[in-house]
Formats: sequence, C-alpha cells, structure tokens
Amino acid sequence: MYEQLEKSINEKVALSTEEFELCKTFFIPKKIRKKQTLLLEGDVCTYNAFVEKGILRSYTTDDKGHENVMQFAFDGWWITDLSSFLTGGNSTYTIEALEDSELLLLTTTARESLMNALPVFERYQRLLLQNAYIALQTRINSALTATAEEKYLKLTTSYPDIVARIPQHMVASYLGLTPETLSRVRKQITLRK
Amino acid sequence: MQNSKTFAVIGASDNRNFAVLNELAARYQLLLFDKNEKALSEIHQALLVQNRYASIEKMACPTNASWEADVIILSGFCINDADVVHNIKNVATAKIVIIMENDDEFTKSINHQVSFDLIFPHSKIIEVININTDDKAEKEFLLEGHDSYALDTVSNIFEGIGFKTYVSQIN
Repeated sequence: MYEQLEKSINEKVALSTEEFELCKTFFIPKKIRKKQTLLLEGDVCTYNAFVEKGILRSYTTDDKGHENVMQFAFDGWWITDLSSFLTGGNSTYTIEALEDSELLLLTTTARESLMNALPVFERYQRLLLQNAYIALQTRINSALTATAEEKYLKLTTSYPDIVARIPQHMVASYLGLTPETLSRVRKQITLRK
Repeated sequence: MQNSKTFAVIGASDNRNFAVLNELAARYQLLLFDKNEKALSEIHQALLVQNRYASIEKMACPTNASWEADVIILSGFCINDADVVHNIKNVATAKIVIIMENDDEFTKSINHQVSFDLIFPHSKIIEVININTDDKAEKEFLLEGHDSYALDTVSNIFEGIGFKTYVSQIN
C-alpha cells in the first residue's frame, strides 16, 4: 500500500524505516474508481495525492465544453491543483481517475505537520517541486516552439506510459492538438518507418 | 458542485442506526458491510426504498469499503469484532472513524473493555452516543473525541442531516 511512496522518497532523500513508519501515519489511504473525481473545478483542493497504483488526470473545461488536459499521474507520481492546495483558493482543475486507483492523500495541515516531524520530507517536497517546475518550463517551451510531430515524438520518448495507457483523444488534448491532427501525425510517423 | 463524501458503514445491519443511515443516504455515498448477509441485504433494500436515487452499495469486504471511504462508521457487533477491526485498521489511517454507540448494556460493556484510540492510533476517533433512544423524539447525539477538527466535521454532518449534537472534546 505504501511501496511506491517509499520508493519515491528514497530516490530523493534518505529515510530510515522508523521515519518512514512515522511518515505513513500522515497519509490517508484512499481507493477511487474509474471516472470518479478527487477534485471538482471550483472547489478548494485540500489534498495532494500520491498515486500508488492507477492513473489520474487533471483538466479544465472551457466555455464550449472542451476538456484541456493539464497533467496525467501514474504509479509513483503526485497530482494536485497546486495553487488551490497552497493558497486555499478555488481550483482551476478537475482531477479524475482514468482507472481504478489507489491513492495516498496528504492534506495541507498533514503536510505541514509531516514537514515539522520529519524535516527531510521538506527537502523531498522541494526536489519534487523543482522537478515539476523544470517539466512545466519544458512543456511551455514545447507548446510555443515545437511542431505537432515534435511534440508527439518528445512525449513518446519522455513518457511512453502516456501514449501506451491513455486514450488518444486525451493525449491530443494534453499536447494541445485536435484528435484529427494527432491521428495524422501518428500515421505519418508510421508510414516513414 | 462539490465532491460528495463517501461513508463506509461497517456493521450496517444494526437497526438502531437506521435513522442516521437513512438521513446520510440522502446526501452521501454509503458503502455498507455486515457479516450477516441477509440482514445487510434487508437494510440495503430498506435504505433504497426511502432513497431511490441515492448511491448505496453493499460491499463484500470491510477493507475495501473502508479503503474507499472518507469517513468510516463502525457500529453494531462489528465494534467488538477483532477480525473486522484488524481488517480496516490499516486503511483507516488519518481518517475519521465514528463509533456509533447506543445507550445499552452491550455497548457499555464494550466501553469498559476497549479504547478505540489504542486500536486506531492514527485515526480520528469520534464516539457518537445516542442520548435519546425514543424513536418518536428528536434524535440527539453526544459526540466525544480528542480531535477538534474531526469533532467539528462530524457535528456539521449530523446537524446537516437534521440531528441535534452536543460536542465534548476530551483532552
């Protein structure tokens, strides 16, 4: 139930068995079913969710009802609406399970208590945020400068899980493409092989 | 629009809690478990009759019910069932666990034997004591627990479904 979390933490900081046992007590174990939402756009996001097993996505819905995917989260990833989680403001995103998923939820208060109890967790969180910021900058740069094909190829190289496990229309939305454009790009790549 | 809380009701067939479950079902998702399958089916059916569009589900396993839940209600004979308690303990971490007590000899005897804070050391235990067992009178509950946030949350839930509560924070 905590294997991925232990792995994720130990990849970044050193935590003893006793410290990890203490760490576990701050997380809410929660199973959610496919299509169930963890957060609805407009609500205050009270959880930072760690995915032990499954897939979640965060997305916004525009005025025309189109969903724009912001993030996917697989086993060992974190997902939240960071702005809402940290400021207490209303969330911009809906977070939904794409498969039956097992999560470990950290509330804002539990996160503060955990960082007080285990200062090394603060370093772990800082490293996560650092990596997330770099990933975000890379994504913005790609959105501004790359062609549709370059975006898709970069995604297949960097995150093969997304292409393998996520429906194509959601992949298209994540890349900022229409499903038709993504389909054409995939066809062109296949024909060249 | 707000995400609805999910309640696991472990020991759902205790009829003394029907009024509470019936009101909860109107607003929240309920996952019902009981070792007595026949009694579970009866209570499930009775709740569905009164709440046709509610999300009420029978669960085969207390662990999965509690794992999916935001709040766990432990009631009836399950309060004193070591197997059930053992099975839900790990998935109850950091969650609110409501112990539904009814003012009778059975629960009184349990209270002398167990401390729920020791059984669920990482959960927020709230003991809910029905202080008015007269079915025709307004339901009133005494809420006892250590965690002020959990006490407020449970009090708001019970008041929200039309019951009067008295809160007692234990230090």
